[in-house]
Amino acid sequence: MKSLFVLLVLLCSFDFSFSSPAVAFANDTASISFQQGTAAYSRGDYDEAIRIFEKIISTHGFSASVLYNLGNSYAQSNKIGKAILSYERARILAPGNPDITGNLQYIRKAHGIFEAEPSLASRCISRLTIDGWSILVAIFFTLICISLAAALLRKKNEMKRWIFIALGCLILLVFSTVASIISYTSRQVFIVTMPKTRILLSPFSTSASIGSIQEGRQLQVKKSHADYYYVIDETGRSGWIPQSAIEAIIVQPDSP
Amino acid sequence: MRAFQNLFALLKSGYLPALQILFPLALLIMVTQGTCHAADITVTATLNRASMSVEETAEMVVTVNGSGSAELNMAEVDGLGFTQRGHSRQLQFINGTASASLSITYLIQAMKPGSYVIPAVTVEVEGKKLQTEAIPLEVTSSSPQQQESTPSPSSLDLPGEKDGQKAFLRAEVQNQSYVGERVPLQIKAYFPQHVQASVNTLPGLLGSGFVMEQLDSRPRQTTERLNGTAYNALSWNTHLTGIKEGQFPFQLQLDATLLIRQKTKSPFTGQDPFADDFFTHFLGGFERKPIKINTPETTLEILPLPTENQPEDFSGAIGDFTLQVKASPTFIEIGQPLSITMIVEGTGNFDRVEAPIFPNHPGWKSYSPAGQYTPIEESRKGRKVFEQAVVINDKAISHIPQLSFSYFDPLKKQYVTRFSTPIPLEIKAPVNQSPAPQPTAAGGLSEKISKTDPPKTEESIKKDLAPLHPEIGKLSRTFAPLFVHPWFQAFVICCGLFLFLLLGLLIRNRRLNLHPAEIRKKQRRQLLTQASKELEQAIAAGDSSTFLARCRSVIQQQLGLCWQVPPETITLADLTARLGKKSALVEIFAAAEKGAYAGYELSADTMRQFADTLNKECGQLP
Repeated sequence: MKSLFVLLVLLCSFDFSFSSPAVAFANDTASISFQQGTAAYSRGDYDEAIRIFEKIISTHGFSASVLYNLGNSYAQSNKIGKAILSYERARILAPGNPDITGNLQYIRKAHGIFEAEPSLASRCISRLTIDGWSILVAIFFTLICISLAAALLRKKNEMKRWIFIALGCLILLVFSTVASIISYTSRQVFIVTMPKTRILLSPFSTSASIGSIQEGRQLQVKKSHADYYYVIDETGRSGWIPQSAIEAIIVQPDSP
Repeated sequence: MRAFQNLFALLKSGYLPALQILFPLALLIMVTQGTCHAADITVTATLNRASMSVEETAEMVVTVNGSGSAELNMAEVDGLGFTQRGHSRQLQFINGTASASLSITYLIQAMKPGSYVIPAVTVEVEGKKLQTEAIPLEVTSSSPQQQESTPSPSSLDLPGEKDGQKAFLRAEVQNQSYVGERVPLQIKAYFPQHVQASVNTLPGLLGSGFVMEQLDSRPRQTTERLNGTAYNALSWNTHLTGIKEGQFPFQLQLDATLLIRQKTKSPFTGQDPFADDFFTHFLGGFERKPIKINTPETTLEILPLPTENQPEDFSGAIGDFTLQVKASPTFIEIGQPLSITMIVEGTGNFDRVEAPIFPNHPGWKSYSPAGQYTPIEESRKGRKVFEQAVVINDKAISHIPQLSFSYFDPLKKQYVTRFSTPIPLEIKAPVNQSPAPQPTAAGGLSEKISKTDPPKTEESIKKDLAPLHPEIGKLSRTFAPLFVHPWFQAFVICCGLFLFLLLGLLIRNRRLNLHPAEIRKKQRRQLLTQASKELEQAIAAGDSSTFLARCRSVIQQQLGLCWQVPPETITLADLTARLGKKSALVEIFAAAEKGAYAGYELSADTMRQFADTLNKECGQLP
């Protein structure tokens, strides 16, 4: 059993990415750009820092640090919606990072964008990334298989013990799966990135407004029509909003 | 009906013994009343008023004294309508003489003002015709208290009436508006007074290009007279708001059900046998007729707002508004928040009314305003109050600056900007550097002011942010979670399949454990198959002793599993005792015993026969 667990831990900790010289070169270029962006930020040239960090994302991809630094740059430029969006994206990659969480909460509080107190379950789920929960799902799946195989192969008097272990793993598997699903669905939100955005009654620019929504607030998109999304905000208000006024926290693959 | 009521009252008042005598007597009189002398019969007609207006009704009572039955013949009068409202019979005993009287009541309605003469009513009693006297009636136009609704030129045409329909719908709205402007709309549904109706739905809008505000489920009910016909009118007041420019025809539609009284006629007399209203209502002589009534198609032209001279702070408000700005407190310390109340009042599209923009200035920090709309009762006006928190950080600030609010006035067809007057402030330096409160999420001043969080200026926000991360970290091109990767999915599928396989095996084993007889049977089959091969080999080699020894062991194995005893303990005596002497297995076992202990040999044919028998008998064991 002990050797089996050691093998599993080794498997889980194995990095499946294989680096090539081209990748290493790209990472070097990205690192240089990253340092340039950091330097621009340090000298107060936030627009330049934003430009550099955005270019890193579009050229090389993103990391929690790039998104976090971009969020800081936006916050310094008083682009609250974009800052919150970047922090939220960074938080997905590194949910336990205190800098990201701290700055996000700080910016929200400073601009009166308060979130509801997360429940205990939400706090537990947010301890791991969605990939972390997915790995746990795989581990528990494997352990169930091993336990059942042992129950078959071992002596009759040991069968109950192995089945008990399999049931325990099954409970943990269910919990991990639920946590993965909740983590995934909670990322399907949009952030208002345009100031003075109004929620409209109909998907037309001349439509009557049902009120304005603050930059940086979260929305859920239900459907779309032409250049408008039908959204529901945190207070339950629903209406149409221009697509250009909001951005999804999770962007589609290869279009960050 | 009144006779029945009187009778019922008498029964209740305890006069039952007397009635036992009087009731047959009364009936006798009623039956024989036609035998009264015609000379005793008098006919009179009375009117409760000599003059009335066209909205009012007069009551005429025709009384026939001396008879309980009569036939009335009312002459028609142009401009007057007669409606029978009921009749009553009375029976009187005076000095032992019974007399009956009949009263018939009519309601008179006038179609137009003028001087009328109600002609003499001819009453036929016992074959004789008697006449009342003619009565004059003066009808005036509508009384000043009751304002008759005069249809506007556009609504004089009543298409519903032309088609013979009994109800119709009318909408009154201006024919031109601007995009986003709230246009008042009055909807009226008319139902003739003599028709009972129930409304099934609220009027619905058939058309596009604008939205209609929700209608009140309890409309205002009035009585109106149109073209000489009295109607019950239901009216709704609401607003239309154009959402895009253009010309948009629209209609309003209402679903209703009319209850139309059905006239029943007796096949014998040709008259309604239940002419009384009581019976008509009680017996439900109404026809339910569902109808859809529509307004005539109306076109609303929606104009775009002029772009010329449009103020920068114009948020889309259209109407007529006033602006009032207050601040509290006006004597404050630096860092202490003050609340600015901005009141926009008037008529128009308040959904587009936004708070006046508080100008940016390094000397103060302003928070997002929170607005609340309140309609002003019994008027079309409304009020939107915005609360905005401002924290002063500079002692040099001396007043709240002039704020502006711009809107488009559709009557003047131009943009109007309202300005507030600057509000003087007295700022003093903080005495004890107590931290200032924090506004709420909504932007207004918090009721519960935090005393721990100082106000955050832009600069302090920038300073308080955690520093940048120095390392770039691992780059990724997608946020796609692990579980969308094919290798992860393949792994999970493999695990799932393996799991199913294991579960299947576990279930199978468990099922076999629950049925041990099945396991033993299977085991016997396997042993027999193997033994059959060995027996065949012995037959082929002509080795009788080996054949017999194997036969003996096969029988012991098979019966041992069958009887659940150790095979080696089974003897010929056991076989004989449990299977009987005639059993083929006993015979083979005995031959095997002989072969083992007496050197008994078998021919090839006998061995073949024994082998077949052994297979057959063992195969038939339970």
